[in-house]
Amino acid sequence: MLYYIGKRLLSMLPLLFGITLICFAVIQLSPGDPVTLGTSLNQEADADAHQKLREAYGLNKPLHEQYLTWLKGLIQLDFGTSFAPDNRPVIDKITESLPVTLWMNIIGLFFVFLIAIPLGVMSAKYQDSFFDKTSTVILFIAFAAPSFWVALMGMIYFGLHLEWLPISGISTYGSESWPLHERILDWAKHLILPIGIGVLGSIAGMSRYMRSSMLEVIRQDYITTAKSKGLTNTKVFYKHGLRNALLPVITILGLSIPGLIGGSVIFESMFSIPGMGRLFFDAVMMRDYPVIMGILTIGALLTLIGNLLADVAYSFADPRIRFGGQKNA
Amino acid sequence: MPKKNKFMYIGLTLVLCMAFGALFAPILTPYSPTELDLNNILSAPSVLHPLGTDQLGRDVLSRLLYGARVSLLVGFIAVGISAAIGIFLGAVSAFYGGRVDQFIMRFLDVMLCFPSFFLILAVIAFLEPSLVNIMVVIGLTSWMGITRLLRAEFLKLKEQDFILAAKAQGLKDSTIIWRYLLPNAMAPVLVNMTLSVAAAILIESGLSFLGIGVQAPNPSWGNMLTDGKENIEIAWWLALYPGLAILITVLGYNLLGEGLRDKLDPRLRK
Repeated sequence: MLYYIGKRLLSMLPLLFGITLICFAVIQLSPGDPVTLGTSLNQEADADAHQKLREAYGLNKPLHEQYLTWLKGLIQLDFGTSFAPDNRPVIDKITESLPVTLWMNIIGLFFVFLIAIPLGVMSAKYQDSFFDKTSTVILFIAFAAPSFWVALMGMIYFGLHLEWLPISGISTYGSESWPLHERILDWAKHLILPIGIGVLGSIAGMSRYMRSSMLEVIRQDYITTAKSKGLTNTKVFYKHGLRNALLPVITILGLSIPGLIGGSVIFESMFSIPGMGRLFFDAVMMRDYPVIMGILTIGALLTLIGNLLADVAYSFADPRIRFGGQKNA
Repeated sequence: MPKKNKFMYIGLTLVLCMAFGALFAPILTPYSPTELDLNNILSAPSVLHPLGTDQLGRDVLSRLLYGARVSLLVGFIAVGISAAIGIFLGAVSAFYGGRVDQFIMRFLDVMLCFPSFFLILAVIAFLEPSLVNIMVVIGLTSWMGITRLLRAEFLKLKEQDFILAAKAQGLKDSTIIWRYLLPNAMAPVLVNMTLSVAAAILIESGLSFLGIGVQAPNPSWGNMLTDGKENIEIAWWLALYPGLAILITVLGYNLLGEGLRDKLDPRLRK
């Protein structure tokens, strides 16, 4: 087991290197320059002042030097300081906003599994029934709906029309002094819309996936064997079928991480949630290079870690991977 | 399986309707999508303006129809770019194998690590938002699925007798790839391309919604929704219809793609 994890960790190293190269390239290939942008409104900033600013940020050095400096900082988790007026270290800004995004996604994923797996399994069990057909139609529509539009509709209906839910932020201003249970209720009210609507697409995708995975498994020979042994259909379905059909879901979980992180940009901007997505969006609008590079790197890193965890979990669940994986690594 | 086919035909109908609307937009609506009518600001849906007007008095229906042109254009060109890259890299990777294959696959793994919306957002914001930039950047960040699919198909086909025969005849590599391998490997790629059109349309509308996609005054479903968000308290029709248009189009391509997959994948046939 340790051997397997170690091998996976080693194979991540070239990927890490590639990630930093692409992050750096993306920023360098772009024609914009934070110095010209930052001073474009200031008539008095002349070429001399530009030069001084570039030197201050190290933008006048050759590319490979800039890359190495950045990489050196990266290893020590030092992403430089933000170009924004507050000039704070990038890492502080990220560690502040990352937990918000992570927690929202973890809570969201929990609901995705809670709803999508039973839905998919039932659809497969009663294939072509009325339930299967209606849920298929509804899920296809949910999958096609642009989530920011559904969010907009939700804001109009629940926030403005019914006035049930707040439509901005994650807590009421001044709620820090409230008793704990009221604060939790307050959070919940703020998070129902962004999380509830954010997971719709994932629920649709995951339950469709679960359904086809289940249908594929129950056509396997070992299911026929189990049935011919005389086991009841229910037992075969849940004990032999479901357990095997759940395996690929672990991989899907790992693969869905970049999409979830990426999707946070629109949602967090819409609901004014102080997470990493909104931080990234604001940074992009201001051409705040260090923050953009930092978040791109952290986002890719999170994906790598997610994939590693999924692989390890898969190898726990399926011994064939653990013992048979050596030859096709 | 008649049920599956039914879904596919519904998808095809939706796709064709949208294409029809986009193509004949000037005939279908008397109003220009960008002409202001300040006497008619934010009027609710009526006979004259079936879907109402926006905060500058522009007809929402004509903006929707012209917006369909943008969405479909972005969808097709972006997928064209990603398919060209994906097919080229997948074919080279599988056909030549070895170091080339390893390098391309590692590069692909790295690309897959990035939340693609982050990558697209960063590049677009630096390059100045424009229609061309959006299409190119979406194309450049979404070729990975097609590469993997085509590579897998090629690896399966490579060992089959007719390819070995072609090689034994001494045919050029490019001939084998173009005449023998590609036509036999295209089915799953086509399915993936159909689904990718839907994905590209969603990305474009998201970017335009955030204000870094198609720029005003040109209509796009995404930037129409931004107007809808700004007038959220007084004009529900501004926020409702562009979203429905996106939903219908994306649904159409998804149904068409899924239907094609079921038709082309013999494993799922009973």
